[in-house]
Amino acid sequence: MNRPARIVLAGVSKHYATLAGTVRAVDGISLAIEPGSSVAITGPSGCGKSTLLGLVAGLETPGAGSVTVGGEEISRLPEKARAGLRRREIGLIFQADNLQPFLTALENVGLALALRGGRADGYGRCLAVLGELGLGDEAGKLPDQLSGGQRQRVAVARALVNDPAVILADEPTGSLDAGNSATIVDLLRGAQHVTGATLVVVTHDPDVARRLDRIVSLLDGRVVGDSAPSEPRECGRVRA
Amino acid sequence: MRSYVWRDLARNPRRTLASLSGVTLGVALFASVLFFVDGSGATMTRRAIAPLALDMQRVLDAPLGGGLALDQRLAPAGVLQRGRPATIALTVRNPGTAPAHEVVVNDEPPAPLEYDHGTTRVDGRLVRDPAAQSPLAQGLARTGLNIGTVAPGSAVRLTYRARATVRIADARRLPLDGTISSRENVVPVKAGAPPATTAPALRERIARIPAVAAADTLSFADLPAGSLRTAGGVVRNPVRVFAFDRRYAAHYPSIKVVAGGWRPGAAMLSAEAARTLGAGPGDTVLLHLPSVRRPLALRLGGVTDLARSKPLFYSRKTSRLEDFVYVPDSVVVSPELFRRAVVPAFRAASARPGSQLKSLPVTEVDVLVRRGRLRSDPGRALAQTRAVARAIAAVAPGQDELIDNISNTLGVARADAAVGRRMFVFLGLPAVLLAAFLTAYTGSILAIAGRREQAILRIRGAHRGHLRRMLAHRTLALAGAGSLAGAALGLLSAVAVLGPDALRAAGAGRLLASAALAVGLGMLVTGVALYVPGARALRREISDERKELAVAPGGRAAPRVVRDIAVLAVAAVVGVLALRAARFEPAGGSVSEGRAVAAMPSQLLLAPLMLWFAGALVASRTVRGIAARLPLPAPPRFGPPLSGTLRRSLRRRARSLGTGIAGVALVVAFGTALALFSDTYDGAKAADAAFVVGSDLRVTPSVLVARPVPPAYAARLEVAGVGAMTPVVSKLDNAVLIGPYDQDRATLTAIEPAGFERVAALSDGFFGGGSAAAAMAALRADPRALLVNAETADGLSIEPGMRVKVLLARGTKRQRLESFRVAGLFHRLPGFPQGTSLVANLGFVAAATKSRGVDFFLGTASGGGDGALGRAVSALRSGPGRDTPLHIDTTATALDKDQSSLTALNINGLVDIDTVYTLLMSAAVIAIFVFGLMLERRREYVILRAQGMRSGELRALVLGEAAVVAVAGVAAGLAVGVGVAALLVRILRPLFVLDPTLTIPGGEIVLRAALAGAATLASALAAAALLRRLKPAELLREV
Repeated sequence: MNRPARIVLAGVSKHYATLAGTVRAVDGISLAIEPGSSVAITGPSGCGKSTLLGLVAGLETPGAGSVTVGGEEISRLPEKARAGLRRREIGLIFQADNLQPFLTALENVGLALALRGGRADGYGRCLAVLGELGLGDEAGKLPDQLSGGQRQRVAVARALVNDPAVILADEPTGSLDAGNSATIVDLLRGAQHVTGATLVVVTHDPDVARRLDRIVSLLDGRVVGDSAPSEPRECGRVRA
Repeated sequence: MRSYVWRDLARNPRRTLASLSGVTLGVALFASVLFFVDGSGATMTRRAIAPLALDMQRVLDAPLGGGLALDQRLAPAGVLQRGRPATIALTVRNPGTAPAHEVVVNDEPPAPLEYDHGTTRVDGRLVRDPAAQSPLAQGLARTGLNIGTVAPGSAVRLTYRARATVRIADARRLPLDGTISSRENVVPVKAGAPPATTAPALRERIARIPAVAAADTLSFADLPAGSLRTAGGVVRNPVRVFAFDRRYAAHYPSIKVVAGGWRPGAAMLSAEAARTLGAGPGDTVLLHLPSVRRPLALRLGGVTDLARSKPLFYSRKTSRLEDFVYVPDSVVVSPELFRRAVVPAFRAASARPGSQLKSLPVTEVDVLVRRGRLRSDPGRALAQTRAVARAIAAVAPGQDELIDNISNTLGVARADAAVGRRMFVFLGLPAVLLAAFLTAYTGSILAIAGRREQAILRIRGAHRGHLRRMLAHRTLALAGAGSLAGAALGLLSAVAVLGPDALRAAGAGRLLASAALAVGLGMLVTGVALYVPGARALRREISDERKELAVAPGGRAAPRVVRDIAVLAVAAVVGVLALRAARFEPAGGSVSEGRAVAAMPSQLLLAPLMLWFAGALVASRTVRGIAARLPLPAPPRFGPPLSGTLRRSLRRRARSLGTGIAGVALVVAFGTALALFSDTYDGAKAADAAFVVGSDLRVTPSVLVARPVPPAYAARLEVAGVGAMTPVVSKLDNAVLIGPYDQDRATLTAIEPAGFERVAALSDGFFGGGSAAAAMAALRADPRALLVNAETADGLSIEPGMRVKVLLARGTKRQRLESFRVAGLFHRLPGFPQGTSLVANLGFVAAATKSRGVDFFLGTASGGGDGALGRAVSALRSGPGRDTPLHIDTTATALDKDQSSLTALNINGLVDIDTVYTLLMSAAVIAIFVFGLMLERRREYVILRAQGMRSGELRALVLGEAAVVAVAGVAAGLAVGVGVAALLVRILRPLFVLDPTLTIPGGEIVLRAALAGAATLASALAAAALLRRLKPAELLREV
């Protein structure tokens, strides 16, 4: 099991040049997320939530500022080292399940384990995780033979199988119904409690946000709110 | 909608270029083949007639003159009632100055008249009917009545009566077919024929025809040995006396004056005769003519070298018009002297009762057509020369024979051009199919990639009709632009290979037609190929994607394999049937007879086409089947991430893999087949040339060499650049072979077996069951060993091991009868394309006949290629050739003289075009496959990246799939290509003299594989670079 990681963003900016002009997706955000805590990143579409998550995951590099995950400044690492960090420390979940269509549920999970360096009983661990998520009987099926909720649970299993220090989820319930959404959030919270991982969830859903320790609200690439769930602040309201 | 399509095409340049590349490359290859055909056809006439020595010959039927005329009349004219008699009168006139001997008059009453028995009279005297038949049509052969000699200036009148068996409305209309012949003029002349014209008059009238460049009279007659002599010497060989003037010599430059010159009234002597007689310019020689006691004294104006003069020595026998029958001892006199002295002598000899002349004099008008005016296309040129021939035949019609060599040659060239066109269509047709395949392949990939966009359009309200119209617009734009670009690229390619002049010669109309065909066919085929997968994708639902994952191998693939195997089986059956029907056996061709050299069964070209297409598909499906059964790492492990992912992807997505492999296999198979065919074609041409020459070089001492050149001279010819030389003695019909039951004239070739084996282009196939080495060893071991041509042996019932007798040096003072042992049989001998009957040991033959001279030497050049050949020729000319005039033939000159315009075609140019395009297309297939992967799987790759897979590993993943496609495609393509080439070579067998053996160019194959590998690597690297530029955060967010 990995040691829970602290996430620190210091003056992070990410701008894109488009035909319509420069888009400031993330504009000088400074933010610290304590190890083992859970944070919801909320805000309207285009406010920079997913970009922020991409920066934390090392999928993108900031134009300015620094991103530190577990003491390592991921924003300065070369691509190879960032990939290594993702293998070891980070579990990623997306709105779309993003499973490999040619791999069975078990293999999708097994690949994540293999990428980390694998274990001799790799499939045993994978089957255990899938079993914990209620997919023990579906392990041998291809993604298109599973329902949307099942696919997303496989995606969660894939993210958790490595015991990551950080779990990053981008709208994990965005395409699920209320029941499945609740199940996924339960799974994530449960996994976080068990592993002590730091959990960052990008979400539109106030119900999902409320179940996490902290809610950070973004607008136009900036942090406009940072609070505990008991005192939620809607992006719209802040803007108004 | 159009603007949407336009924007879509403009803003997705990679997709647009991928779609265009297949269309453009395929159509460019097809168009370049069409333009190549146009350009090559434009030079075919020139190439075809270049080796032709004589364009047309008007040979006089009555070389001895005679001028007998027959007049025939029927009385009464008008109505003839049934049973009424009519009188037929035939009047024979001899307007000449010499009597006509043994004049035969032949006639039968025209139907419905019937001969009235006992009514035939000659000059009023009744002639008895033989066996109750008309004396003018006796026996089964209906032979005529011999009326004896008709004196000069006299006439003989014959009459007979015939009765009408039915009422005849107009007796004047009855056809009268009486003929007359004589000992002097054995060719029957019809009644009413115009008086025989003379050669000078004929020449003058033919020369006036506008398309005729030159018309010259040529006469010759053969005289027996001893006919030519001086006071101190005699020519002991047969002599030919020619009659032509200096104008004729100017028109045919192969007639060379080596001493003195053309002087009025003076004769020219051949170099061989001059050497034998020791005569030269200013001397007098005596020519003995038949039936003339006193020889003709000829003052010599000069000495000529006629050894290479085809117009003089090509056989005039209709069955052997292409044979060069050289008579070394000859004398040239003026046409006037020939008419005045030689013709009357022969006429007198032929008139002598009981005389039998071996041959009569020949008189002809040799015609050269204005070749510059001939159209470049052999078919059109043929129409022109036939018109010239008609014009020439119309001059004094019905009297003599016209040999139209140029039309016959052009007829062959036209047939060759047609064969060539069919062959080129075969080479071009796969290009269209490849274009269709590439386009369909790209179309299917783009259709998958465009599914999301279509879904968005549907959400926004577009219905299927809209989407179909958009697809139609896109198809039209891509197929149109690609086909136009392809036609332009094809034109540039043809210009690069043939040069602009060749295409200019083809004419704008023809080029435009080819361009229109390329664009039209290209648009049609590629349009269908683009539209169909797109329309199919429109009909498909997303859930159909599941079918793309071939979890269970087999499924729908099985019927397709059966279908492909069925096509292969059809190709095999066609091949076997053709083989059994001997369709691959070469058909003998004759330019003089206008029979095409290459009677190629071009419909058989469908067999390699089927083998190509079905073979590539079966190979790809086999690889696909193997991939679908790839072993996976055994549980409980996923295995190494890279290989585990790659193997699972290959196993479960074998379908897209199979399509990529099929594409590469098709292109590589086509390119390989062409490369192999081209090398085999070149090899076969070179082998043919070596067979015709005998080796790399053939050195013939000029007739001007004063003394016989001994066999030992070979050592002097072995100068730097020349490998080895060996002497050969051979002359037409120089021996008589006497078997146990029969005998026949034969051409004996004497060789030094050891040297000949080292130098000559021998092949075991020439010696039936035995080997070349064994045959040469037999000759070496036993001086009296003899190799006999299999056909000759068959004709005389001779078998190996028998003892036979051979009359050596036949017809010379050295002739001698020797016994030999038949050591073996042979079918062919290098250096003797027209064949030779016997092969014997030179040492023994020379000793037996006490002959010291050889006819020619065969030699090899040190090193290969035209450069080595050129160096050897230069060394020979500057070395021994300086003292001894030598004629040097090489394999290169033999190729230049090739009579078949088809085998003379620059097929290499076409193959170069094909090679470049197949390489480009194989690179395009791999690139399309890789970028198809990118379009289809970029999300998968980004997920893997997000999961921590490094760029290098991702690159390896892309490269791995592309490499499997490239390696499997190239391997399958090579295997299929070799098969197709083997079949193609069998089909084109009739083009060659010798049996071509399939040549496998290792270098080219390695190059092709290396280029496919390089294309794979480049595509994978480019794909990896594209992967790095993708925005993962955006892609992963997409639902």
